[in-house]
Amino acid sequence: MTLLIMVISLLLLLALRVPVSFALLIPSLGYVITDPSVQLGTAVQQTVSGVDSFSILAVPMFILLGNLANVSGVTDKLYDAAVAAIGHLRGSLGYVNVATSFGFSWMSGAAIADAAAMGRVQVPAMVKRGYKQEFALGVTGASSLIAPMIPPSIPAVIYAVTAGVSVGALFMAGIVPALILVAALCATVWILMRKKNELRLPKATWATRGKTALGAVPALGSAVVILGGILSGIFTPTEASGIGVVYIAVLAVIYKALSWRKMYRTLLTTVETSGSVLLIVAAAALFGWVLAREQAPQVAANLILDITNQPIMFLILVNVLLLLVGCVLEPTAAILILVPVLLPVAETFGIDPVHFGIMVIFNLLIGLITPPVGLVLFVLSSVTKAPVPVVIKGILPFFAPMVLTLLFITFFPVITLGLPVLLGFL
Amino acid sequence: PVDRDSVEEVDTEAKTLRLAHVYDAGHPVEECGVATLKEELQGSGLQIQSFPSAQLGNESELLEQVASGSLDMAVAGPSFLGVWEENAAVLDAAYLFDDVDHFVETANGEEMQTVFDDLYESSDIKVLSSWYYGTRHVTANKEISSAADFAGLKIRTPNAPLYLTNIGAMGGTATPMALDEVYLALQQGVIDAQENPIPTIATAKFNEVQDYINLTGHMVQGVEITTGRTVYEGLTDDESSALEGAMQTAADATRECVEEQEQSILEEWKAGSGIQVNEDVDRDSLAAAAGEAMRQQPWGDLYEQIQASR
Amino acid sequence: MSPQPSSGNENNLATGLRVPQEPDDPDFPEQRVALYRYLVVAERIAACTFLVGTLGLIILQVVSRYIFNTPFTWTEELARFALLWFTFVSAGFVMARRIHIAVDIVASKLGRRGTVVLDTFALLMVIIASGMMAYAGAGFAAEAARLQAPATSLPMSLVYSSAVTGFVLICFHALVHMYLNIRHPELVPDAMENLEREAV
Ligand code: NA
Ligand code: NA
Repeated sequence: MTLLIMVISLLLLLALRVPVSFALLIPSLGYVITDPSVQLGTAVQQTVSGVDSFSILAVPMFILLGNLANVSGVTDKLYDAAVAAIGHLRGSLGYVNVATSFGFSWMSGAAIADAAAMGRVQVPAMVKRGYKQEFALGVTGASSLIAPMIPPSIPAVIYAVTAGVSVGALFMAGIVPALILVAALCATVWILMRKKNELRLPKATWATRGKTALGAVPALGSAVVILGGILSGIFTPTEASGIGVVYIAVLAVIYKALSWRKMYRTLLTTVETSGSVLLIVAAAALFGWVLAREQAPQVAANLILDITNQPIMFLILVNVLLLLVGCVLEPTAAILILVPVLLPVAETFGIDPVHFGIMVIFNLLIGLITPPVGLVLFVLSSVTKAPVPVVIKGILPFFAPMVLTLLFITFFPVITLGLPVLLGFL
Repeated sequence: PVDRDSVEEVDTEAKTLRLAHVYDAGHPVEECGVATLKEELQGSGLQIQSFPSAQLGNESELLEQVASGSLDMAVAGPSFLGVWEENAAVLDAAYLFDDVDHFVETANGEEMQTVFDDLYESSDIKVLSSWYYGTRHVTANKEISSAADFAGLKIRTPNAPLYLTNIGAMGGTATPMALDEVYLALQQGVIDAQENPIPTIATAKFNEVQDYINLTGHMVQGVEITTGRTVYEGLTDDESSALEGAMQTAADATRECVEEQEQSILEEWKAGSGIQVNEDVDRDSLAAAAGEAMRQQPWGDLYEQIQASR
Repeated sequence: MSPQPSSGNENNLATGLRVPQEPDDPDFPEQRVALYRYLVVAERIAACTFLVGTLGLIILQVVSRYIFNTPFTWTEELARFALLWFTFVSAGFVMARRIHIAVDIVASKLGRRGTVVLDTFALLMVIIASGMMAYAGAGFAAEAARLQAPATSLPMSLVYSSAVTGFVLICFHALVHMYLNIRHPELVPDAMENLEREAV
């Protein structure tokens, strides 16, 4: 009963446009006040404890890393290299778009940053070259989901902390699914572009290719720093996030892309995004404490076991639930609210928490390109001035590769678990 | 297919006490200790609702909740109790105890009772029982037999000051690190060694990435079961004595489980070809080195008293 | 740097508001009241300082482990505390810009009047909850003064004060916006504008 009231008031407050963080805080405070044994101070303690974690530290660092990479112009260098390398293919700018996102994904931990950067540059470039605006928007939006699947990844950090699994293991588990997503996106571009013979650029000379490729190398150095550091055990993922920031900052200074004013604004943009996300993390910790105290995982387990006791059916149910939740809730908040409840149930079904994590994350990422609350849709609309319905129309064909990738992730655990096991993380 | 028997039955008549700790559901604290507690309390009018795996917070948070009355019972180690009452931390000092019997006697003895009473007086945290948690040993890629072998060795410890002091006193360089990062760090040589009780070493598979387990036995460790003043004073005499009896049985059960695990895992390692067991450790020299540093601590006198009482 | 006049929102143009294009541009109340502007600028600078400070501590931790050979034991704890202060001061600044993430399904279906009512209701909820958190936090922080953090020996009240500061700031900014909602209902951002503000 208490649980039901908690969940209903959360949904109600969300619908009434109360900020997500406060929609989580208010029912929790109500609970704390009505239980005389619980002191109000405990509410503050649990809120603070949600952020009091060395792993969570990686969240603002990865946001800063992505923002710095954006202003320092390394995205442009990736784009130039991709155009030179594969520009002569039919529908090449579609592949270039995916490739640039793939390159950027090693520096960016969130889809929003990718969509904003690529939307600003590549959508106009594609339209100018004769591509349909819908297609340009669609491929940009869909490929922005690569960023949080490849390390560094903010949802992976949040999940790892919530589920109590290794951040490194989760980072590695996302790589193969991301590669499958890249392949599926390229296949979709190929299908959509197969009759568009006119959409190709003149073949670049090997000199140009070499020069642009060389230009992209320093940018990808941050991937080497972050991944290499974690793989070799030299840095923890959190330390790697800090080192990555310093690396890109030095690069930006070398490129002379960073004035003091720009630096200050980049920091402030990071403050804006982090402040909002981290307050949700804090509030969700208190909400989660109340759910745990009222034994929500056990209640959820009983509910689910009444419906099915087959792991496959359970996974299908969870996928449907997450796709629905992802339509209205931002991934971080959804992970923080749902994982403490669903993971114990998943574990009774014998599902590995790392496998479950990648499935949960990718599911919620799809929500970023799904109305009514798809943040990537709004970002694209805002940076390209295209109306949201046009963005949605463009993204529709890309749901096929998304769902395909999701099915692979869900039903073949080896795709997620293979690499981390191979590298000694599990 | 899932077995539904694990879903617990609830006695709607009984007074429910929420007990939280940070160990996972398969750990002896939950599987032997808390399980015994639940069983023993059946029909007593009290029942335990258990929250393992840090669901309700980490050790310091749980103690704050117990002190304020937000939580009924928590399991916490001596270092964490030491934050509230300095002297309670003495139980985590290096080479305080000879063996598990000495630990059990001390934890239930007069000196510690005084300390626990002070704790209750100053912070409303009541220690109900002390359960044996395990004996910590050092694993490394070389044999460690004396303090000299520790020189230059980077040893991972939990990030708590007393653990760092302990390793430093024995001659090593302590490197604090979260437990889930240790396996990779050992594999890659970022650190050279680590120290933990045998069951933890086995669960975290450190025996795969280390050549030797050196039976240093530098900490014979326990955890305390605590409750708050409101809960404790709210118990009837019958409930109170039922709880006390159940705690004693649970303490014995936990000790038996942990010792059984320690022995069987060690036998397995001795028989196998993986990690080598080094029993040839000069504990006296290590204890002498550690003792000097321990006597400098705020509870130095108490340390000497307990050592003398064996 | 002079902020650009807004081209998108006539409501804002009518009141002479310059919609901030960059995070360091002053927002409407900042343009009107100097004291308020100083406060928000202080929040900006504090948040940036905590962010850079946290970064510095992470780097120091790595450096101490590899260069000095004996790692500092206090860097992790101090970095976590800096993160807490960063979080709550940032959350205060985010409230000043009214860009805390929210769900806009219902709001986007409402007319102008409904939007204003809904937004004011949401602000009221924020004021009540943050007020309670600030009050509870102050008491909790005072009690925690006797406890020390294990590695740095800093009083735990310093840690919990971060939340108190944050919720006081949030409460104050929400009160300002509530006042503005009543005095200048034309300033309340539309649902679509909200989404864009949050998204970028
Ligand atoms: Na892209
Ligand atoms: Na990424």
